[in-house]
Amino acid sequence: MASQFDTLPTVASAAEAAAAELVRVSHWGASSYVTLPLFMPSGSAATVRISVSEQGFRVDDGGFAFREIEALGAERSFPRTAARIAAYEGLQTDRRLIFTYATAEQLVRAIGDVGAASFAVAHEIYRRVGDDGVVEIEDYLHERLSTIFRGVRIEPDEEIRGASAHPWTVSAAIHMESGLVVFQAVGNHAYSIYKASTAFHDLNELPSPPRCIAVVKDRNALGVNLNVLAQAGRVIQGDQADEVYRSAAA
Amino acid sequence: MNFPELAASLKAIAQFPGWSEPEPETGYCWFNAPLVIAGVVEQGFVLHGGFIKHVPDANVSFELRALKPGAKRTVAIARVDWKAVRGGHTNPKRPGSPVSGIRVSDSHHHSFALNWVAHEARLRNGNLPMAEDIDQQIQTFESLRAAVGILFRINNIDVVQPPKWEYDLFSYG
Repeated sequence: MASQFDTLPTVASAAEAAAAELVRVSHWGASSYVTLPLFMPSGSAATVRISVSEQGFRVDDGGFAFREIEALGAERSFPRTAARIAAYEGLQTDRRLIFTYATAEQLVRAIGDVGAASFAVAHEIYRRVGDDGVVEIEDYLHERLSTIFRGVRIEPDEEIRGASAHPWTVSAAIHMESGLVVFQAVGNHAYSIYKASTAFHDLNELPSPPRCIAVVKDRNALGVNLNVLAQAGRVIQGDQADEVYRSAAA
Repeated sequence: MNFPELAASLKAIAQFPGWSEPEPETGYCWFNAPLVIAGVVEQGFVLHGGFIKHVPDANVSFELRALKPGAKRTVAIARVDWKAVRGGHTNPKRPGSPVSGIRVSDSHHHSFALNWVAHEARLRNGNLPMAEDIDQQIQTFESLRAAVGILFRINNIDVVQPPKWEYDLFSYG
């Protein structure tokens, strides 16, 4: 009589079956899709699309990171975040895609890089959306700033090193003639407040510190944490008048 | 209405707007159809549908999207993926979930019930991370559409027109 152990998979067969699920290839017309062992916020696999190009192959993420973010209504965050993350590996981006070009010899690396960037973009935006509306504030903040500070260089998601040498990615940096002004979207959650406060303190220790401005949705909702934030920088509400933005930056 | 009420209510599509033209970068076509409950078109509550032009007879998604209370954003509260080009779905490990940590096929349902944390009155973190298989015998768009009508409780889902896929000699999946 067979025991229950006779029907259990062996380690080898279970591992092979699981591994076969981790990377899969399907072919559709002139494109092939490769799924990778990286799970997006939805639980689907990070997936890349491969097609022919003049250089050999074009590898892109099929817009799947954009789709994940779109489901949250945070799709306007995609171009900025994708451009920043893709730049680390020399990848390119457009409104909805992360992509690169590769020869046959470069294809393995290109698939890995594009898949990893797609995964990183989706997860970063999900994390920020979970951070009590930071993405929501950033979405309108960038539009407001480009209207209010017309003609001035504005860098979304600029990385600035503090006195500690830690690199802080701020929501927007405005390069005014009078000096650098940093705007940081801050959610109501304690983590968001403490992170912004730490960054501001670190930036304030620089020899030429930037003007640091926290942009919140509702000052009253912060409670005593408003004091924590105000010790490190100025605090405005996102819905305040243009003049408030200008005077905070002055 | 709150999310559980939206999910549980009998719904109808107020107007099917037609599928969009394919996005030039991705080939993705989509629609957002407002939903009616008891004669009222609910604010920000839509059925979203999507397919990829050059992936015929596969990779169709239907999703219920609702306005998040206190926010301008919508969030997905339920989704069906059919023959997903991204393959099967892998559930994260979540204590207490009947589908924790398991792998499901490329045709699956991210049901509201699996993704709602009732005692905290919130959706699970992520983009509807938990899913279960749907009937694996569904082989046509029409049968998928009928199944989604039952799962999402939409009584006139047949107003959603079939996708206009692009077929070529080499499409084989």
